[in-house]
Amino acid sequence: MLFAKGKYTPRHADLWSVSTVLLALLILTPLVVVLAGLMRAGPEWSHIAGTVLRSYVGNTLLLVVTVSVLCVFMAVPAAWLLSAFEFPGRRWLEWAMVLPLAIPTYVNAFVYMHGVKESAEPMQMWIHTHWGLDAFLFSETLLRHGLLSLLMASVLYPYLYLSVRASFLVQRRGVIEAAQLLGRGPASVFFTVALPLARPAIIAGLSLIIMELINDYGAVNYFGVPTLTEGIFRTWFGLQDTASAMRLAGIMMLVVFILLLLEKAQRGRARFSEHATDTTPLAHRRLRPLAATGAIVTCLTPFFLGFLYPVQLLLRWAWMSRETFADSVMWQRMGHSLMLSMGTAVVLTLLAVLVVYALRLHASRRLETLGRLAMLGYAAPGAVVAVGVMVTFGYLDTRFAHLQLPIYLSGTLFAIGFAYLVRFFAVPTQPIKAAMTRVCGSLDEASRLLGHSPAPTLFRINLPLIKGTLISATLLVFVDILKELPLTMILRPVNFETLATLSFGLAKEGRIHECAVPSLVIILLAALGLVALNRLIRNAIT
Amino acid sequence: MKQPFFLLLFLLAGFLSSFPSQADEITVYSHRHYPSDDVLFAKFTEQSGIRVRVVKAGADELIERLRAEGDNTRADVLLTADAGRLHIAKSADLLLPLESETLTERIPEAYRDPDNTWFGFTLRARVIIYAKDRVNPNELSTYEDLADRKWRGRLLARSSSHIYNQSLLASLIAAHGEAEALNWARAVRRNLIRAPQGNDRDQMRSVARGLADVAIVNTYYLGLMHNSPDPQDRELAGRLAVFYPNQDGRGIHVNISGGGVVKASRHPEQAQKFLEFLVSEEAQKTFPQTTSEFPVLAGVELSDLQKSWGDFKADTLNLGKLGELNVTAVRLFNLSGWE
Amino acid sequence: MSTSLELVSVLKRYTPHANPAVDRVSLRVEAGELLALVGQSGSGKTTLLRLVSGLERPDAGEIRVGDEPVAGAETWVPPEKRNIGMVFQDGALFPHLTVEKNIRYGLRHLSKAACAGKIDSLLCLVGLDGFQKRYPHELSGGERQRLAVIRALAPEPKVVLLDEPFSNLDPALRRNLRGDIHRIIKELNTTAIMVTHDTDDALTVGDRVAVFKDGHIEQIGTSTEVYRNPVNGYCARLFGPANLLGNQWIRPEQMELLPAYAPETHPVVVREIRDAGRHREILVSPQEVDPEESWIIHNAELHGLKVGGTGWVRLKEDRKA
Repeated sequence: MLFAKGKYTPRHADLWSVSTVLLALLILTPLVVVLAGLMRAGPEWSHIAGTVLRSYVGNTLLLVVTVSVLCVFMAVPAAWLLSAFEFPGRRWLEWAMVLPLAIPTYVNAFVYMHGVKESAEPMQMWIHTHWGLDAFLFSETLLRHGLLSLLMASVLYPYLYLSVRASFLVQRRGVIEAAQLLGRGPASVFFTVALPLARPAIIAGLSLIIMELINDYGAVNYFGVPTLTEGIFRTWFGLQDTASAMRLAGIMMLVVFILLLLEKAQRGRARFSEHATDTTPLAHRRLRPLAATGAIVTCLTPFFLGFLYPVQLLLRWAWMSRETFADSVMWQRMGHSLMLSMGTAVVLTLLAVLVVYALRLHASRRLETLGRLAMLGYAAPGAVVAVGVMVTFGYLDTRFAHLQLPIYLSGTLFAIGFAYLVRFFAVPTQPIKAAMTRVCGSLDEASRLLGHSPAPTLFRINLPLIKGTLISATLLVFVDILKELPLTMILRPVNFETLATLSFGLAKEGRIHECAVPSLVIILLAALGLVALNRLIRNAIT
Repeated sequence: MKQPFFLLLFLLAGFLSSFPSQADEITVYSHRHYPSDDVLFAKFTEQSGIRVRVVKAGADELIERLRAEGDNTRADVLLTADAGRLHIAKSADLLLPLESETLTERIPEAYRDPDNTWFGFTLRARVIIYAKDRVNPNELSTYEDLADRKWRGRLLARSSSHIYNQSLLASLIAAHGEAEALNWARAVRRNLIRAPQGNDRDQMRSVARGLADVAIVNTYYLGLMHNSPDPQDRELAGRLAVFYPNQDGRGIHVNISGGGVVKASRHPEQAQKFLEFLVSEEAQKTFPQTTSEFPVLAGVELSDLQKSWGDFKADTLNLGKLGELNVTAVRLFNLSGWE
Repeated sequence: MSTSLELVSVLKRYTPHANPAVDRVSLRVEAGELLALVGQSGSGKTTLLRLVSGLERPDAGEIRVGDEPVAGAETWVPPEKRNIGMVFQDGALFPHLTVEKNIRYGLRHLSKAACAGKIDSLLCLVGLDGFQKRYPHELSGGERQRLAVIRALAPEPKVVLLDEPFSNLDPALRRNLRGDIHRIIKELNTTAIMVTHDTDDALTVGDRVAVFKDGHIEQIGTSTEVYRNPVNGYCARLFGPANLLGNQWIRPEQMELLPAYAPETHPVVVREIRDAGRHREILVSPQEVDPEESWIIHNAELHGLKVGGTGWVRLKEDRKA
């Protein structure tokens, strides 16, 4: 049916297109299963809807609003200062501002809980004794939500920083200069020209942040603020109600899709107005000492909150638990986790290559659409993907149980690997696609006409040419898998720990000092991933 | 097109998950993750010649997996850290009833399944801890008393999503019925000085630092805190004392760490031997020292720390009942507003 | 070695309801012939090349190389099996391979020694001898295109397709290369189609020229035929100015200006006289055809006529049928 009409007639089908179609359908299955779950109410649904649903939704929305506001304050002024002005440390800060991205939200949650919230207790107690219990309770709620928002914003703001900065960099120099020539001071230029022009970038960055927020499980769980993701866990394992958990997952997925559509809708118009011909970057204006100090503080604050502070505290904890460094089991487990994440990352990258190349071979719109749909998993929260995969595989296991096959899908490495595929397929696919379009041009066609069939062409022309991108893409997926928590928590096979589950598990057990070591390993590797990301962005620009 | 593809998937999955099974080896699915367990299991191997392969994961995942594996499982023993999960495993018909005099004689009735599918080997007491400098133990009496207004703003407890709190509420349901248990959860939630956050150890730290006066926690966390690598933690632990509530009534709420033999086990005899080893005197005496858990076997010497807390009387309600009431407990928590 | 190429009613549509990119084109290129395909961008000429090479599949029609069908209702030969060479607009040189290896890439059935000999002689042919070990980025624009051409020709393809091979070069280089490429293709006696939007390229290089518009061929013929006898206004204007006389299109240099009436002349008023360097352009408005219309006449004697004066125009001898 897929091949029925138009360019894509059945005789065009070959191994490349068939495997791409199959892969895309496989990836889409769990997502469709979750959406179908919206139709079905589990036995506990009315109970959930009557009691906790409101607080799940309310907490999620509150977090979205506060974190978005904080992110705007952290990212936008800093991005503007770094794009338009010159001050000591600018080059260094430009890069450092991105580093908080290496810190998973849940790790920052451990840090803020034990480093900040606990040290605030004396002050809270003072409030308790002097102003009474109600003032204390109010301060407690404020502190909890405030700190949770702050810790999330301080590691998520780089998404906004990156997109806004990119938009400042390509903004027409002429427009900014015209504003300056019309007698506007730097502040006025920022508010009347730069900021309005960056609006699409702000919205794009914020939607990424919101998706990450909705996806988070570790931090909200640690701070005891139940959101929709936490609700899925509680419904599934506490109430033992799979159907209701699926419905919650379906609701989340709808929310994310609506967000995605809104973002796309506003970007569609924006592209029209942002088409710049003169992309010479702005000349950096030198700041006077006082203003320069202000600029440094503006940029340094988010960097401190999102990177310096957590890293120094984790290092101190790691030092305190240094006896456990000798614990060979922990290192063994970490090695295990690294190898498995790497293996999965390599497989994902290879599959991405397969699909991208198939799309190149068949310039078919249907195939293209299918490929794009297969990338939707990246927007779906990890817990949602996990629910979808678990239900799908559970169904298959029972469906084929009568065959008495000595194998099963649920709870295997295969299941979690597949879930990573669903969730992270877009991560290697997008850069590889971009690289092939940019680097390979008509090279592979030239190769075909020189007598080489598609597979040898891929290996002799395309892959050697995009080697750098392949490595960077693999590294990016690797880091994403390494950091992933909610999906891994639900689907990981027995005896399987990733660095993320190891560190979260230790923190939940209260072994906060021991959790510092795996956390630091994650941060280190994620920083490597950022280097890869940086490379990809640079390649895309030049 | 689809059939052979799925077959391929199955083959792949099977390749990833199959491993050989040998007669002198048993596979244990364990929710417990203590390094001391490995030492203990090695001792069992030394005595019996039966090797132990341990697969560690959360109890829910292990049970899900046992369900999925069905008759093909390689697992012989399931170990969990609470009775509720064992009850779920039993209800799913995953556990094998055993006839073992050793087990029935050594384990008090309340801590094993009436149908002999699962058996507890250590006890975990959920008790009240208090700050020595601010609370007179005479103020404390029962779990029920924590609902009293006098504790408003003085109490700490972790989130209701944790199985330990669910079991505690289940025991209150068993003692007083659903309506009263709900009232209790509501009142206790109102008395909490802050919305639940963190684990048991965090509650204790906050009590020690003076944020609140009492907290509901498991005793072995206090043991862990006394052995913490952080000197500050050890210092904080010194400011706390344990109170055993309900000593004039049904006794404290205890849960077990326990296990059962998997129904589809290929080595049920060896697996039974393994469980019997866990209640042997030799094994039982290690638990107080290593994990600060209480032994199920009477007469085993406790650790100095445990002795310092004094003797206690424990609830004799069969723990299987807690498993049955678990979902009800979760619902009541949701209704009560205890997050 | 060379082979003919035939397209029979070939149709290609990219989107289901849009106009076809190639609309039932039938075309025959004889063995050893070089056909220049000229048309504006977007006219579908590149698509036609991609269909011939096998990079796209036709929705209907048949393509034959020699007597062998390579695409049709029943047959499909993938591009790598067609033995058709192609020179891409940007050269499509493999940046990670040296000049030598770029050429050898298409010669995998030849022994190493045979390869080396062949590569050397081909490089000599285009004046690139000694460049064997260089990388494409170390070559100039013209050198790159020469390399692209010999890389395509090295495997001795049945047909070679050139897709705007000069479009990225400056005019002087362009004329140079145009001659070179023409010479090489002729020397190797390969059947070829060259696509271009530049009419000079087409007229100079092509044995025959085909004018392509909106997916179909408007006119096909030798350079002279196409230039001198355009079949319609589009074809006429494509190659430069043309004057409509009756239903005929007349080139400016095919007309002459007379001071007085003679048989078969048309009265005109001189509007403007311009010196364009190469030739003198005279703009006149034909009185009996349409006074608002204007004709351009090249290099005609003025016979003392001034702007505003009336003269008589007639066709030169060679244009009369």
